[in-house]
Amino acid sequence: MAVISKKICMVGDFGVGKTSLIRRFVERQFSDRYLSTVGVKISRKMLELQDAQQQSQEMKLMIWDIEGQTKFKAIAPSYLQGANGVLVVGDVTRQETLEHLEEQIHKFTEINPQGAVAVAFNKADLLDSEEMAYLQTHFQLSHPALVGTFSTSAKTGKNVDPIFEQLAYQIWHH
Amino acid sequence: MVMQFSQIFIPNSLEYLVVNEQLTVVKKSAKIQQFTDDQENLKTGDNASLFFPELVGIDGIVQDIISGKREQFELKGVTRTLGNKKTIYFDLSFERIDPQHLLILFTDVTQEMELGQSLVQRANEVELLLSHLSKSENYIKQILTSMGDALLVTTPSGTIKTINQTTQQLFKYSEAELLEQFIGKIIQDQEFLFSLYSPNIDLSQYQQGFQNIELSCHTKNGESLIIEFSYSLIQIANSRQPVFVYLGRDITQKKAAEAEMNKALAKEKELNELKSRFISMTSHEFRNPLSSISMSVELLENFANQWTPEKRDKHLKRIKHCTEHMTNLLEDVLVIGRAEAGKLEFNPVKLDLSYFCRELVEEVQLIAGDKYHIKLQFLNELQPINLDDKLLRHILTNLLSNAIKYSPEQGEIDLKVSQEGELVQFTVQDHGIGIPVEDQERLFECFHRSKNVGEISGTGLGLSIVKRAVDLHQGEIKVSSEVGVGTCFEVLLPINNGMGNG
Ligand SMILES: Nc1nc2c(ncn2[C@@H]2O[C@H](COP(=O)(O)OP(=O)(O)O)[C@@H](O)[C@H]2O)c(=O)[nH]1
Ligand SMILES: [Mg+2]
Repeated sequence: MAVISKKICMVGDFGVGKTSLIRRFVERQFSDRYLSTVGVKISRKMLELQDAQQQSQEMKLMIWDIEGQTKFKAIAPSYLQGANGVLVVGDVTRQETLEHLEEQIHKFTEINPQGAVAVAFNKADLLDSEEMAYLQTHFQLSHPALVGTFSTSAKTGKNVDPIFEQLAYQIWHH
Repeated sequence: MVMQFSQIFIPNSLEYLVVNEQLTVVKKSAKIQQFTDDQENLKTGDNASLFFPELVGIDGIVQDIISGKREQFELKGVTRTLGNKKTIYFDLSFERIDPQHLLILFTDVTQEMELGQSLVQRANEVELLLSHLSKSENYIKQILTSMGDALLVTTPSGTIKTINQTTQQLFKYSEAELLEQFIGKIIQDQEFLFSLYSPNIDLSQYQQGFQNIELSCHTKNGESLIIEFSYSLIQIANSRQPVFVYLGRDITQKKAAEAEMNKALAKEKELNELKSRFISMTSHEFRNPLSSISMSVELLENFANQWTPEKRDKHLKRIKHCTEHMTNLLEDVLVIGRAEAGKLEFNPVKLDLSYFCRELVEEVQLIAGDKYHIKLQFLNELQPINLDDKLLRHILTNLLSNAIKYSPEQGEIDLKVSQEGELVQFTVQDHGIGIPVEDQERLFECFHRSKNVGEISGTGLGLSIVKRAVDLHQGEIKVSSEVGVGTCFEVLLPINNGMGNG
């Protein structure tokens, strides 16, 4: 069975935890220190996918950690080209980062109309469950390409594997 | 295979790959290995995307460039962490060589990117910090503005530094009118202000805070408020002086309701007391005459036949005297009852005062017998005046009979009458037992009797009736008395009450 390689991108404002999510997913580690990403860094991760029919597939995910969007700098479209999926990340403690999610999804799907989209409400460990529930009902996103919205924490690992796996599965079965 | 592109000159200083449409490496520069993502050696014929993960997914772009549909493509700032943990950055640029081949140029930009990184890092950190600061400030501001309690922060000397919306609404001042002002602008309680804001006070005692202190305050327009404050001294930072933080709640209405309630309770208590005093008075005052009557009646029933007419007469007189006494008691009770119910009327008539007084003194003297002497004096000439004769009768008979009752036998009682301008003055002076000071203020309460009355019977209603009769005249009554020396009542009545000068 041949391994397939797929490209996914991490998109979101700076500091929302994109690098941390990848680090948690790939290296199983987390650091509280903030080291801002410049340019782009690609990490690889092998996934074993299995569907309801017991068919399985090995997938090599190329995860593009892209320099976060700031007030002064938009995301370079060249990084997004050829991606099969995107993980759009917001920081639940910074309202403005959540307000950008929709526009960021739009930007990605404009370049990759076939791409799959997952949304991470990251740093969920910093809010109590009541506040998280409130957030999720008040930032309801809807987009045809949206696979799912997850409240994640790179710090505790909550929903980190599921969100990447869900996205990979969607890409495989697209 | 002939390589047409080999004629193309590529400077030595550049690192590059030449690939075909399938990204198979056709040619490579000498040190291209340093940019690969793998330890394995890259050889011609290998698929470039196995060594350069950046190439995964961009097959479409590669084809577009080779076929001339697209000019070129660039990926800037690709990061590579090397085996020795060293990070390098490089740019990739894709250019068409010929209809089958693509040139990928690698440019090391590590120095520029590292510089950029430290700038971006700093900018982002500041931005994050600002975002969190403004958020927490907003958060607290919103809570403070929206809370229903008044918030005030002052310096240790009482200068107002912070207030919230509720404070402004409660005290009707704008923020500008309160900030930098002394807190005494709204808190009125001088004792409180003095205790808290005097110089050289030991502040540490306020650190644990005080709960629910009721303080009288006033608003900008002078309205009085009662505010329940909790306050404490808070040290925000070591380098800054501590502040007093007050939280206040308006309890003015609650207090008014409480006072209203207390008044109603007091009234009810008074009525109850009155009732029990009435019962004890009547049971006491009626028992003696009633038992006298029943005793005389019984004796008459059994012995009348054998008795002399004089003896029978004596008992009949006693019965008559006792019934008269009880009638008087009842009369007093009725009068005071009418007064309490507000049904005692004031009907002034034109009165020849000297005649009226002489008649009345004669009547009282008759009842008192020759053991007492009432001396009536007119201190000046009296004009005909307007007074309620019935009420005046109540006033004078009660004062005179009291004077007699509480005087020793052979006592002399003075009634002096004088008229001055619009007022007539009656003075009743005795040399009797006197009224203790502590009883003087309760003298006019129904059923109240002084402690020193001893065996002398009485209803405790006489002076209440006097007082009410004086009040109906809008007059005044004063008492001066000394125990064992005597008592003097002074009554002042306006003389043309309700009648003009007619
Ligand atoms: N508490 C908490 N902190 C996180 C989480 N994810 C990231 N961070 C912190 O957020 C900061 C920015 O994270 P980073 O991954 O560099 O964000 P990026 O700019 O989106 O790549 C770092 O200090 C991380 O430690 C999380 O899930 N929980
Ligand atoms: Mg990052």
